[in-house]
Amino acid sequence: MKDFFRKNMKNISPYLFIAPFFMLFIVFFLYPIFYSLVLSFSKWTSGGLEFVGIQNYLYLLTDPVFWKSLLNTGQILVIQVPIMLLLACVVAVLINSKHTKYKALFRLGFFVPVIIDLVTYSLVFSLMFNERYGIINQFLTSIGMKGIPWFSNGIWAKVMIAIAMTWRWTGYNSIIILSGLQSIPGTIYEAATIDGANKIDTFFKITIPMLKPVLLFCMILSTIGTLQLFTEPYMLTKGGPNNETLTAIYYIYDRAFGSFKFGLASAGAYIVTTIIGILSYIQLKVSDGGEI
Amino acid sequence: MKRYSIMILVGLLALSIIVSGCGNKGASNTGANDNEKGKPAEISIASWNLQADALEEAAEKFNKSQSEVKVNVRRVSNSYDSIVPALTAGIGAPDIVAVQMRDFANFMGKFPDQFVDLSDELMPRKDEFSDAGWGASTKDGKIYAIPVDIAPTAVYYRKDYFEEAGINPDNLTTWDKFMKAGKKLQSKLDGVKMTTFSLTSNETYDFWQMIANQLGGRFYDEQGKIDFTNEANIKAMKLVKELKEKDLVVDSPSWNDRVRAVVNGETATIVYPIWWAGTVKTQAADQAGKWGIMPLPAFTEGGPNQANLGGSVFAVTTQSEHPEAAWKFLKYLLLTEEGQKIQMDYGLFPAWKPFYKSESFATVDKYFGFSLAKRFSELATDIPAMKFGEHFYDVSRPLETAFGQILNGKKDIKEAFKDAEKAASKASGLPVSK
Repeated sequence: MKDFFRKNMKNISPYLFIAPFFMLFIVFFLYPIFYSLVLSFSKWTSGGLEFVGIQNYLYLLTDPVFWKSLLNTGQILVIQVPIMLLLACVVAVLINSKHTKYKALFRLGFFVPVIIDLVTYSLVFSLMFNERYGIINQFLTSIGMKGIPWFSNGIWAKVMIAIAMTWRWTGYNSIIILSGLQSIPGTIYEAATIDGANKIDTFFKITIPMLKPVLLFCMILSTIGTLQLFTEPYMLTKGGPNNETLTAIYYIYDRAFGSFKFGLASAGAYIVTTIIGILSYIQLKVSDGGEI
Repeated sequence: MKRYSIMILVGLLALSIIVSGCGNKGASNTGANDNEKGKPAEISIASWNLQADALEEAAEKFNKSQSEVKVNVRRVSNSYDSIVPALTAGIGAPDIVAVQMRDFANFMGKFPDQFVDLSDELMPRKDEFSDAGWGASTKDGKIYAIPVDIAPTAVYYRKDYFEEAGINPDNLTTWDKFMKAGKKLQSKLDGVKMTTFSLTSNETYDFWQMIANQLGGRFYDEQGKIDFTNEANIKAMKLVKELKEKDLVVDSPSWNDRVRAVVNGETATIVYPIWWAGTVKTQAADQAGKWGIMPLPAFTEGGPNQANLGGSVFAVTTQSEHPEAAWKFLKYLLLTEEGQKIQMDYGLFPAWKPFYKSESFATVDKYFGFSLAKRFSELATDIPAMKFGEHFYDVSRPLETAFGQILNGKKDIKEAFKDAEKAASKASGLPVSK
């Protein structure tokens, strides 16, 4: 009897060690995930829930504003993520170069935007991009160009959001890519140089292909991040002008905390999650799971 | 063996921390009897901006004047993002919440069990408050919120600019005259435009609402069906569009842009309610004495020219452990001259009418050089009531989209309003008026 007890307790100890995590996971992740699934099929008031079937989903799928918000998110995604990842690669290669001194300083410099408080950074951007007083338009007018309508023109507003995101996330991605670069054996480059390849050739023919798994990782993370885009439009443009920078998550937030339609918002969240799932699956498939 | 029991103990401890975190409410309930031990009952009140400033001053005076109740002011954002989760969860809400009048019906619809019925206290005193203050406080014949302030609207104008351009504000009785004067002013003053509001963000809505309100515009017909395409609404939008097309407007998409346009002297006028006075005073202190106030221009000579934008109510939450203490503070704040004077000092125009007769009401404002309250009370005699309804949010969002399409030139006014009616009907479940 004693042996049996001892044997089983031995098996149980690892579970006890991870138990605190799972308890938190259940309370803060699993429960909300299931509760919001229930919510997405209901109409909510503080008095209780009323089951309404797929009405919330039908409403969203026929609401032009929701489609507009998905389209906006998609446009920013398609333009911003590739540009940012390319920039991140270039930055990583430059930092990794043998000729670069003070590497730690550069690494820190590029990574700092990630840890800066979101609100502070949005405030600074809104001051810099202000159409009439902002430093950017002041500069443009001082060299004889016209100021850019960052806030009143839909396309430029999206460009501004994309610039803000690029500023914030390029360094983060380049640090991940940098660690990928350092795992590429130097011998390959040596061999290529002997065969007469120049720097540009080695970048596109060796560096990029060898980085495929790391780039895939960055791409999926950035895609998820962009689909969940909220802070920048909330702080900078309030979704304007005319819903041109309204993103899917902003739309959901607006329905939840503006008109208290928590059911509708939950349904929206499930739609966005589904899209994220599908996009990630496609990226994995197309790139053969990141196999080199 | 001992080792394992320690491990189990640690596990249980972790569990108990989580469980006790959830059960906090029960523990703090026992604090309700603090009064008897001589400790003051602590209550909190949540508000924002100027009103929070006023409340902080009032709370300090109130706390000093008696020892039974201690009031703490909680500063929150005007988008309710720290109030709504607390009301949703049924835990953590302040004792008293400030809600914009136009949002309160929506709150009542979604949080029907979260607000204390104040009928016993307020029913007998209903007539003491201005009609404009009762826009949203009642449901099924019961009162759930006390009117705090209303917001009569006027045109603030730069006296020095008008003088320089040779414009007499008394003559600007119609919007046509206002626009003509604007052209004249802009030809004489460089870098100045006649007025400012948002032309490109969803805040165009506020300007439109003031003009629509002036004309008696509405969102619902008599049967409660959605009605955007009535004459007043369309006429108001035509004016917004005309002001834009005549290039009389400094575009100010956000509140901060509007403040900047005024501080930098880029606009000759701004159409806003009384609460703007408080902002101008603090943000443009060096422009003291330069601002005058005139009534809104009418659409026809002698036509209606009064409007309201904003105003708020206070509601006591059912989560409060000391509703009587909360009411005590509200009584001091809103049903005494002393309390109302503090609000008035911050540019909040009281909904409580007995205050209009008080001496402090006629006090000359140092910044403006005349009594603000008096001037605005002349503009609050006949404001058309605007019903915002339980679905105001579902109604205002499509309108904001429509304004954007109209000012972009993508749709004409009728078409855009018709589409907005359809969208609002879909979101709110209310039918469209014929």
